[in-house]
Amino acid sequence: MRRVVLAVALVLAACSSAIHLHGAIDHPVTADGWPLTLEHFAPAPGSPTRARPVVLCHGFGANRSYLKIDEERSLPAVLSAAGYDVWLLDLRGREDAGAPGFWFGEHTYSYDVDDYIRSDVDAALAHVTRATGKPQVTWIGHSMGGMIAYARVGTYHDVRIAQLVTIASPGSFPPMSKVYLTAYKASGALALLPAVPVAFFARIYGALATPFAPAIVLDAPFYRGNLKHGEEYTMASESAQNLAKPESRQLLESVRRGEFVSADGKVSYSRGLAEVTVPTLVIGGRRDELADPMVIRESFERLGSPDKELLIVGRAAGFSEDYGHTDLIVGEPATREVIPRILDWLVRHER
Amino acid sequence: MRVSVALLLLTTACGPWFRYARPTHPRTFDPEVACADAGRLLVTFHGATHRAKGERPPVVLFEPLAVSRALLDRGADGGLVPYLNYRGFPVWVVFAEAPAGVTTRALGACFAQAVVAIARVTHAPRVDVGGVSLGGQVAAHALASLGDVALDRVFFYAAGLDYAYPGSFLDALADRRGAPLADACGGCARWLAGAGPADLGVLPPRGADEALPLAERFPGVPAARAPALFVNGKIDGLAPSESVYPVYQLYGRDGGAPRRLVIVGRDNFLDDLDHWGMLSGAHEDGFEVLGDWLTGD
Repeated sequence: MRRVVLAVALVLAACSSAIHLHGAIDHPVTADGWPLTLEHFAPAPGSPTRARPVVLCHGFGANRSYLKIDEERSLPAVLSAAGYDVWLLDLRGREDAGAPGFWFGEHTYSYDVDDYIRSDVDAALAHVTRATGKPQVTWIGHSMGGMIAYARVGTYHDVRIAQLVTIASPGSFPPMSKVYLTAYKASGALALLPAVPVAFFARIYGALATPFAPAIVLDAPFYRGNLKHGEEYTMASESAQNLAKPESRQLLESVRRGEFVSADGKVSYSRGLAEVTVPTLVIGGRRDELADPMVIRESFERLGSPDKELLIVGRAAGFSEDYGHTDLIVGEPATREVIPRILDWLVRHER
Repeated sequence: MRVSVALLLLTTACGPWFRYARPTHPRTFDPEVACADAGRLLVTFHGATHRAKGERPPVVLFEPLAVSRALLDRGADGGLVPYLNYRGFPVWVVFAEAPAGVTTRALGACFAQAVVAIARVTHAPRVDVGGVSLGGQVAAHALASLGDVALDRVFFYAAGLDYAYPGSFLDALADRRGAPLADACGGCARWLAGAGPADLGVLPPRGADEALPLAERFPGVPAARAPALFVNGKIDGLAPSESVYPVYQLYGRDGGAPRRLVIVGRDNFLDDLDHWGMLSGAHEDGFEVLGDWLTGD
């Protein structure tokens, strides 16, 4: 048994970080006492001065690492080189700010998506606006990172977010696909565990670089054709996070209802989309399994913004490939085709 | 006896080929429906090749318009029509003699008359009605004029229905800078021979038409009562999911008709199909979704 543990430990240790882009770390604390992580990438020397800083937020079941997987061409690197003051956010429960305990400790996996919206976004915005002296930011969110910004602006009317870029962020949900239906049916098993230990299995998967689960499960977050060999394993090792039961239940219930709702079901963040009036760029991927273009279009149309753009990234729109959920922002094709479009939109909206 | 055994073995070994073997050529039927400047509508009848338990209602479907209708029946190479025949459905394919210059809205009214004529000829108590690719728009328009026909089910197969959003397939076609039709269609390129933007003139004019609320563009859709299926390929750029979803949401709104939307892709443990994949039968995932739904499986 000791040998097995030793072998697993060696394998995990061998999987050292393949992400070399690092900024200055801050740990702002939310009003309810949770530490967050904000990684700061200052504007490159000699780059143009920009109107407002950018906060970049990851998606569900992940930390910020995958957003900076490419040292030179990932979004934080590109924006920083273009003169933007970039703040890469880890929401609560991520390891860099102190991982929660499964059963005991000051913090446990007890939070839901409402906590992100109410407290974490608030704390991050307070920190960035204070640190930069700028009253407003541009928020770029991938997947759930965009959903919580929709809710923060549309339902909580937070005026500190001046512009939004959402990438693969559904503001509502379509009829359940089998991927979602399977997740929903499996959610009964949540009762047996204090949290969903995704990180543990993802690290083994990443370290061994061998799929040990059906491709239908492992491939849902991305389309492998758009990733360099090994990037999926790096993401699994570095970025996968355990899921808190309340956040998982809230999202699955939202999927079941077809609209993004609060944990108690009383607030519809989907309805709040009409109250989002800031300039918004909405990006979806043609072959995204988790946020199909049909709901990306629906979210786009529900937005109240007079200045909004929709981009469905796929071959029919002239891109080299049909994009999936995470490869919209990670991978060589994204650095060549998608990230420049985001930068172009930001530059056009400098005012 | 030996001959029977040999035939049985041969049939088993060559199952996929025999499934599509056609005992007869399709027969042409003229429902005598005049259709604006399109001359008239014509119909080909494709009889069921396999017997099904119980009677299958006739399937009346409108051709794809932008893609050659020959794609529907490629004989031994497959196609949606032989597949439905194999599942026990007699299929009536409706097409315009000369569709250029006639909008899908006008074709829809004519198609409804053709469905009435076919229902009369077949004496079937109920019929299944559908449209393939841009023919789905024709079927959606026809719903407003099908009041007296007893519909069993309605389907929209790889149908692009609403392109009134920025960056749609029609926008991409209009500027032609980055999205030629062939890219949107996937492997359809050679089946589009001669089909350029001009051939898509069947689509209702943009601008004024798209300014109308969807319920006014397709007045028969919210009032529909028959169960409906919408099937689209995951990576189909010509008939993408976002072009069908608003119509799906509208379908049966007033009458509460059941509706179902299936994306043929990995989200549903199927292959990601483009327009070619949906229509050609190279992968049968799309066909099976439709066939299973029509048979109630």
